[in-house]
Amino acid sequence: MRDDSEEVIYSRSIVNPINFPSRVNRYVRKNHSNKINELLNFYETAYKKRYGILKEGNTPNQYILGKLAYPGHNPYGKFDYSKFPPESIKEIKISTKYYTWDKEFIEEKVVAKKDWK
Amino acid sequence: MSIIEKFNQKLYEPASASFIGWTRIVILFVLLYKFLSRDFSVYADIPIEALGAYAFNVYNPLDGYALLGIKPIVDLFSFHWLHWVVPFPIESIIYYIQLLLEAMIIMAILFGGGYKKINYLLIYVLGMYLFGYLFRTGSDIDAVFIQMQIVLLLFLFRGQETYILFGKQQNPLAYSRENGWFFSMVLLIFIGYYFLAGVTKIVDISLFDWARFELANLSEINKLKQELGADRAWCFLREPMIGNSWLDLPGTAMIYLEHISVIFLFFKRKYIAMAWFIYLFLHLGTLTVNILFLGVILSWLVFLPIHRFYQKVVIVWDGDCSFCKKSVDIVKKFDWFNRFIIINSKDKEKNDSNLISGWDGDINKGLWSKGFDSNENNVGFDGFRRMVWVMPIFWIFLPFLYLPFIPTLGRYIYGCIAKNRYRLGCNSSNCSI
Repeated sequence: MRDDSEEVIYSRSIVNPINFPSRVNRYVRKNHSNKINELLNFYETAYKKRYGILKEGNTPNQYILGKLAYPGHNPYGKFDYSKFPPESIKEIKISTKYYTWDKEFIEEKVVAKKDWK
Repeated sequence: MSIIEKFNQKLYEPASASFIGWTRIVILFVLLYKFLSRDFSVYADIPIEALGAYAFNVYNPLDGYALLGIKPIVDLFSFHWLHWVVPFPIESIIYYIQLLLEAMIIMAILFGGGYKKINYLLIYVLGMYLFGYLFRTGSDIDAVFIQMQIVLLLFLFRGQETYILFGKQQNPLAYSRENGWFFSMVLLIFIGYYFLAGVTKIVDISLFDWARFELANLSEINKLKQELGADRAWCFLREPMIGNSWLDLPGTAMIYLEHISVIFLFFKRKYIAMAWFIYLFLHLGTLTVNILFLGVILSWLVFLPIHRFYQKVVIVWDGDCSFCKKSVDIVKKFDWFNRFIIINSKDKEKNDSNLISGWDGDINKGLWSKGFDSNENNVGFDGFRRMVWVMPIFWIFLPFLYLPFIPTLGRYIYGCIAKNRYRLGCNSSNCSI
């Protein structure tokens, strides 16, 4: 989440080669709940370190081979991170959003969040 | 013949040495491609507690069992037991391990396994070590199972290599039982991969539940998630599935069958080409639920018989048939690299019997061909198709000739042409095809 509360999804590609950060989130929450902030720190560090690639519209797996790179095991969505430089980020959170079948927003359940350093 | 005798016979069925070199090139290229698109140094920053997300710990037992995805087994085979006593490495160490691995893969692609094939062992150890981080963060082994098993097999194979720069090596066109064993083992790795996945499907979900598995619904959910901004890619393959729930039952039945029946591929190897297309279809199908098995798709290239592009082809045709003669004359024009050894069936006694070994002598069945020195036995449409391998101008059509149902159609058309040979210019009374 940016200073102006604008949000962007934290793509799995940012922590590539980790394919399933959601499984890691679930495991840490269940078994090491006191370490969830450390996990969010890890996501923050990875974002900062890889922002150079992200702001160009590329994903970190493309760091050598560019667009010809081997894609992720679960193909990634496209997000414009150029508008989300690390210094403008206010908060990072793990949440689940619920929608109706007609794509109407119902609610968001936040399971963990922390302020950006 | 008992099933064990049949198995042993197939296990050592002679294969060309080209397969060994080509397999090395394909598998190591896939691994290199993967490592050049993955930066494992990110793991230096992850909290140690998060590295306990082994498959066993993250799978819901109601969804599936991951009995082997436990710490002792994963650590043992990924060499992460090292970290029972040694701390996890810092970023630069992981970076250099990956760099070393990539350099070794390039060396092995060019020069092979080296002394005692030790390069392959080192690639296996370093590769499994890096993939071990994935296995500890919620990933299964399925994405790299085939590649890593074949790397280990390359180390264990005691025969000589092919297609390497420098060093002692086999003639790629040499056939032997030892090379056949290597081919069979690679095939068994593929069979093991699919068959075990099939068994897992049966164990995880009952047959009854699979029959109710909502493939079409899942595709629609994935599309909706992507439209709502989730981290998923757009996929045109989803569109035909959406709203067609009648596909659920035949779709899941097909998935079951193609996994379980893969075991027959060991005995019926002529269906490898067809299986290639079927599994390509299956793996592209998983894109509808946002899963891509690119490594497995590329690994299937090992079964491309690369030697066929330059191996001489022995062709037996009916010399008394003017239409056949005209056809052979036309085909000869496309034999740009002088690969054909064309034999008139009437002159077979004049030729070295080894050349036509395997032919039953009945030209009425149609044109006959085989790769020089091989055990192939291609008749009619299949004989023609074998010729296409050495005619570069027709290479673009080659995959088409192996598509499911096309050979059946081809054999039918070939039979029709043979029946109507008189209308097509075959005037000789001896014309038999």
